[in-house]
Amino acid sequence: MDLQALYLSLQLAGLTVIILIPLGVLVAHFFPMKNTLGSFAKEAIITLPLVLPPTVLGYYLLVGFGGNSWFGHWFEMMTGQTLVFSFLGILIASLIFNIPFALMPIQRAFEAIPQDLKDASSTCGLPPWQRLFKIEIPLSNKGILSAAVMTFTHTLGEFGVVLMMGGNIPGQTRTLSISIYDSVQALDMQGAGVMSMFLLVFSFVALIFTQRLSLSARDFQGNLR
Amino acid sequence: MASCFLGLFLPLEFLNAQILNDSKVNPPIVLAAASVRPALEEISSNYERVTHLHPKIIYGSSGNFYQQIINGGKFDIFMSADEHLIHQLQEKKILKNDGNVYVQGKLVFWLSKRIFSEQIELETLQIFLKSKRVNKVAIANPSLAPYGKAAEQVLRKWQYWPEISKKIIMGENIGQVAQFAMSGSVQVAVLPVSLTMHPEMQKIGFVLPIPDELYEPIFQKMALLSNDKVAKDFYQFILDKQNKKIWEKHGFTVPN
Repeated sequence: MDLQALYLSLQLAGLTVIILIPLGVLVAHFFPMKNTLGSFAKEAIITLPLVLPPTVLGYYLLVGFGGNSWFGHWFEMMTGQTLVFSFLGILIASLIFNIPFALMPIQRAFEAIPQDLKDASSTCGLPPWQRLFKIEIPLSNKGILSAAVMTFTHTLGEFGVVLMMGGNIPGQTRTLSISIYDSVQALDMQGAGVMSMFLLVFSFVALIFTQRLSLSARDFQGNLR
Repeated sequence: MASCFLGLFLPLEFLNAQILNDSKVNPPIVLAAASVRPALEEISSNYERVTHLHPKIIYGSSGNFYQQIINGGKFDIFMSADEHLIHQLQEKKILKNDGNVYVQGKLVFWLSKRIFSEQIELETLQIFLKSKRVNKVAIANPSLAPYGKAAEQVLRKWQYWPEISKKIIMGENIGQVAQFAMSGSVQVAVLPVSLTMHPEMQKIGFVLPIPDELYEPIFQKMALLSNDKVAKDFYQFILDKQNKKIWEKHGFTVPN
């Protein structure tokens, strides 16, 4: 088991969740689904990384942020490091690639809140930002938790984009999934087997947890079913 | 429960997530051709024993590494499987030294024992390659890996190239080709001799050397990409004469 790679994978997954989940809540609150072209476009953009091959995303990130791009040059001037082949680079790739996994469940959970409840809260004098914290988040907490678990698990499994943007550097961009690939090429099948089993079991447990979440014992009024 | 799960990752040093050794010195980052993996690992652990520094070595195809280097990747040493890529980098004024030929490689055929019950001659192999007994031949991608390019040269010399392409599967680097061979999914593979010495590979296949006339000699050249002191130190260590035995043990020839 490549502990350095495991730690790196956990860091990447954790950071992705910490950054994307609040973003997902804000997007769901400020941009609810409406019957307008703008809303459809927003949904399409959010769903795009789900259907794009990772190599397409990797290609555009390399072209846009790589050493030969103006952004890449600017970044290198400011920080002395390249964006590509760094942890920050794969973090950015991970954030983009996980947008559908983080934002969509939260979006759906917010949409499932009956409009009557929201209207009632406004009638009672609750300003929108308080409505967010007192009504919308508590009622969609299962969707938010589900999004967090899915995003975390998905990030652990990311491979193509991380390899293209990251360059397989031990301690910086060699995540667990890449370490498995590397072990197989080194003909270390046992090492690869241990790490693969870990990811398999972890993902399975995470999915069971997500299933359990969607079976709620209470409905939206908080009554036990 | 979710909050304690997330709470594990709050330490703020993560944005500077360079999980390096505790020493103040950064170990060098080396891009090395997949063919040198077994030998370089041994050399690197000797280095580590002496200096307590663990060089970070990334193995892959020389062609891919070339692309990463010219796209601005910051690495310390590049050990290519040929001279050509080093010369190209030199023309682009990216190298910090003129480079050194560190070994000469040797190409061989690896034959699966599942299909070949005993060691055969080169002429017999030529016949088998055309027959139905062999339906998958693994080589490295010639546009990415120098050993793949050499494999193509051999097959073209035998005038098989257009027709055998239906049977060819390409590994992204020769490490992947070795893995194809070991998995038992190909009957023949073209590999550097260094990768056929793995005990598992020896157990399940025969090695048939390829005469030098059939391909251009594979001189593997390395060069410095940075002026880092530790990198220069490791660079010199690799080239030290004492490592000649290690290279030769893995099937390479060391030039004088």
